[in-house]
Amino acid sequence: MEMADMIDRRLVSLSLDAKDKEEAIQKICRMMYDAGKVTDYNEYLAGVKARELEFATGMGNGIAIPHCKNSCVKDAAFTLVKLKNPIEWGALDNEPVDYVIMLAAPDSSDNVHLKMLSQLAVSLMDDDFRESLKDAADVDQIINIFQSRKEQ
Amino acid sequence: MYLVAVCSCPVGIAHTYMAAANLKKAAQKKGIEIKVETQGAQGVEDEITEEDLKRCDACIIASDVKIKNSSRFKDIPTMSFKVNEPIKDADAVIDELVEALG
Repeated sequence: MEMADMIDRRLVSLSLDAKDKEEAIQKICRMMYDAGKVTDYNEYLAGVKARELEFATGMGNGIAIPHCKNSCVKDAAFTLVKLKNPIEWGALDNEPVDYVIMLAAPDSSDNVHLKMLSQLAVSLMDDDFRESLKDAADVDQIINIFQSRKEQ
Repeated sequence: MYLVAVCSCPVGIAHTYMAAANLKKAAQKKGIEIKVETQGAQGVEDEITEEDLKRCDACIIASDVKIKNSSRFKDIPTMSFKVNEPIKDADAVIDELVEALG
């Protein structure tokens, strides 16, 4: 399995409108629910928010990776969401966030998918990968970027 | 110099691995050999062995949770960080350790 195989078009948005972090998290959790990745919207939302309280998941460079591992997650998944306007997230570098990659992991030891999620997180530490992902104009470009990413 | 490190975080799907990746990258840049054990949702990977313990000069712990089997490091100079610190600036983490070692 490759990371690119996990890209779900329903979980990609290149201009999501959200006025603040709360609204962004709600809308993106809703995308997860609407795509059938999570079985309980409220439970998933609560899980993501609880994780966020432990510490904000803004990892710098405008990217945030809110996430949770919960039994209400049916299939491991990630979103690729570019925000219309940058929002305050409490990021490590104190810069606003304009790209949200939300990770959902089932409460199981499904290592294949967990591996894909962690590989994505690791890929985001790579400047070239991160910048080209943020610049991608459509889903096909994103798929290409994922496919050309060599496993490290 | 040979460093060992352990990364872990409460959920274990993202930060653990980002911290590990950055520590490896920063060490490589400095010409320092490093082995990073990850304790995440996928279990323990790249586990630090007895041999690593015998050979290493120091240990970095980057974790927001109690790591498994921490008594392994009791005789090794160890510096602890939040998992976010190497994600933010792994160079600084390694520099701090190297400086402390003298």
